[in-house]
Amino acid sequence: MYKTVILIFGLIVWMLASQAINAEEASDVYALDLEELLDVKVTSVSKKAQSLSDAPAAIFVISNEDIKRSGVTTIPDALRMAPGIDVARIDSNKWAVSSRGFNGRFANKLLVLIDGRNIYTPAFSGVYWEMQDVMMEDIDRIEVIRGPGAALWGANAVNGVINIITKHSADTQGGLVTGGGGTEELGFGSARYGTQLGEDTTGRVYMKGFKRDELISQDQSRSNDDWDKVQGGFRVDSLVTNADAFTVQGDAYHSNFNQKLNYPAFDTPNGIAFVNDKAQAHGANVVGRLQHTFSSTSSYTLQLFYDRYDREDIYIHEVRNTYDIDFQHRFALNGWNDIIWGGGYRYSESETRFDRTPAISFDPQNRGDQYFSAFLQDEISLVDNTLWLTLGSKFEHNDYTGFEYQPTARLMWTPHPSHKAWAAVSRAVRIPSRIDSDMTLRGSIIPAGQSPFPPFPVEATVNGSKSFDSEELLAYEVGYRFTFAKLFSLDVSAFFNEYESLRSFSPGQPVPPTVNTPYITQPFIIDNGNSGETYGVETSLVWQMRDNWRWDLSYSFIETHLHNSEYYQEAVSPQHKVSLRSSINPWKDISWDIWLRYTDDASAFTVVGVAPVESYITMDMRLGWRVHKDVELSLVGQNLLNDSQLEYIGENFVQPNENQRGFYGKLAWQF
Amino acid sequence: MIAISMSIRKAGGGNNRLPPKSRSFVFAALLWAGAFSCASVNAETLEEFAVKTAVTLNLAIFTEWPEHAFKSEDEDLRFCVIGDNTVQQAFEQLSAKKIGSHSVAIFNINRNRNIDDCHIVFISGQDRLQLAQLHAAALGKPILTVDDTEGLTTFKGIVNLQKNNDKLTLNINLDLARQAGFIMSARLLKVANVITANP
Repeated sequence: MYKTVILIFGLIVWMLASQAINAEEASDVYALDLEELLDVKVTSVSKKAQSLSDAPAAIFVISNEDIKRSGVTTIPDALRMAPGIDVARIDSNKWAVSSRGFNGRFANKLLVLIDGRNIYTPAFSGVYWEMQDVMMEDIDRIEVIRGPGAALWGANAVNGVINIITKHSADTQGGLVTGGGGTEELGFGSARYGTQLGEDTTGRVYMKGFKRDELISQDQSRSNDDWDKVQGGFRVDSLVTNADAFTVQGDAYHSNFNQKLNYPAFDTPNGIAFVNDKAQAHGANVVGRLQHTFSSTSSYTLQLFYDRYDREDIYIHEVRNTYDIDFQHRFALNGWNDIIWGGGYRYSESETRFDRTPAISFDPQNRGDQYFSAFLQDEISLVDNTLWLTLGSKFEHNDYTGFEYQPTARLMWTPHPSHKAWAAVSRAVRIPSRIDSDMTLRGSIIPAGQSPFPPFPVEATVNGSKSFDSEELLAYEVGYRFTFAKLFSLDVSAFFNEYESLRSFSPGQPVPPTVNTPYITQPFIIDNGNSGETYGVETSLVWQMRDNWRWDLSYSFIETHLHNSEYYQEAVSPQHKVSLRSSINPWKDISWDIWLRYTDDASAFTVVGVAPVESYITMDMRLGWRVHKDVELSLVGQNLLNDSQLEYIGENFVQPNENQRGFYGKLAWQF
Repeated sequence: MIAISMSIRKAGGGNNRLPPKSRSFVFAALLWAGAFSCASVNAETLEEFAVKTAVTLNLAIFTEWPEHAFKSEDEDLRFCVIGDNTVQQAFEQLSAKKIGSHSVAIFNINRNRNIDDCHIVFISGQDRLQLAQLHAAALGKPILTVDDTEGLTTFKGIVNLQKNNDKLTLNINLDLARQAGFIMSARLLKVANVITANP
């Protein structure tokens, strides 16, 4: 065994060394004259392998090429490529996505933005992933920042920030039509057209739609959670003057999603009833952004957005309108101080209705909240081009907890362009959401037959509390990035997170039966009783083994130590996670990608207690054939190693469902 | 030169000793890697950013700065670079090269984007706003702006490098160059796509 390991290791070292020799050839290029230089063919192989950020934070970038070659069709699936991000599908139209632990459908410590628009909902301080989509082909990149980004982005950027950035409309000129279908991706299609609208004005419009099959319940019965969605949108970018760039963009969507739900009921023997719910959601947003340049070292950005969603399922009908304005000014104070400061205001109003079941309610039913924020950051150059210190803080005021401050101190050291090291200490908070403050949830019912207080059944409820305070994090991080011989890059980061005032609940005074409510109610009141630590390491490694063959490996380790209350056992994310991708072009015009993933044992938080999720290993594969310069055919297999696999369990209402093996074919034509 | 470097490449690949037979997946993969490394690589290709740095160096050689741009005969030619680590590393190769009596000094100005002291600014990537900001800030100053933004329809910088069919094309906005006081040699303009209608 050891011999094998040594042999493999030796072979890898040898290959790297042989490539280091190849890389040296670059010096010859200066002996060529201009005519020869413009005649030589260029490859950008090392660029792909080596691009690393020089920001003092744990950043991973998912490129357009990564998205295309992985065959993923959704944003959550694309995020599976990033280390430190825990992605699990709960049912066909629900995902649990979190950074550095605490996963769940209603995970609340991750901030997500699409082109600067914050898509987190104050309903539960998280993201309705099923309602978020973009034209995948038009994504420029997804920046995944693990760790607190609160000093810049504000509350709820506790364990990470995800920036989904679409391409500038000048980079999506012409037409693109895609279409396909398969066993789980039953059918999908998209069309985009981009054109020049003026000398320095470009725009695009797009439309996309899909129908996805249901998953399968853990007991192998139908999960009745198939869904479809139609979305369209536009983007216009204009250089109004040499110093003023203007962007306006927007999207609108409609989705029908089925879900098989359970709810606590008095009239069934085990206290649970099922319903096949036909739910729907629609929404729209528009973003305007003006960027003005005073000089090469001074510019400001002003952004406004409006976002609306209307989501109705059997439990809750919520209509939310969000209005947001943000201003940011960056300038060099002098040769060694780079300042960014800014401010923002958001108003988010939500109307809720609970007409169809008594399972959940909010008090007050409707509310609007204001969020004020200001931030200041100074990047100080301590040693020219080698050592920087960044000091900054966000200051916010919200209607739930009042004033919050979220400072950070970061040090970046680049002794050599191939070696970069950084360290950071930050504080971040997760401010309360409507479920923490306003909710009453019927969690479970113990029928009369099993009740400890016969003849009365017992209703257990979870009640929000107006006195619920912000959850707090103090995070310590270090990181190191290394590139070798232009064809190999390594990124390692480690963190130690100390949490206080985490959400928990404690039993309140039982409510005795009355004539109208012939049962005992045991409320559990949400409070800040939990605390704990997590620590871990995340690595990502890219190796451009040959011009036509690249490996991407990411490994994440997290250890979770929480001091939980007896009644609230927080979710524990998989301790080990591995993603290994091989991207190869065996022949010109053929691309072949294999993606292996391992996810360790985990446990989910549910309102009725901890639910274990077993470790699993799975594989996706994609075969692409560029039939013509502008036409590509691809075949994708997803979750290939198992017929079906349980990835996660939702907090409430949702039965355990398993993600199934699926195949689809796709045709993409650009013109 | 290319031929020599290619022969090094081929020799490096050809020397690969294959490991003994093994059933493991990793082994199979590495074996396959060995097979691939034996295959020859396209002989006319060079790394993109190596070529871009060399082209930019040539630009500096065939461009005459206005007199006031240099305080003395032997002052460094300050060469500023905005781009990720790949770009920065590629341009490090130009450090201390001589252009006439001037030595090249490379500056990474990703963070503090003060361009006023630069003789050349190379900006890499697709960030059109950053590009527009740079162009606005450099307008009329004796700063040779070079970018490699793909798919531009109007050229507001002095030099733009485009990749067309895997080869580089040099676009030069001559009006802007003249406005900034540059004199570009005929040899440079002969190989470039010269734009004059779009000051």
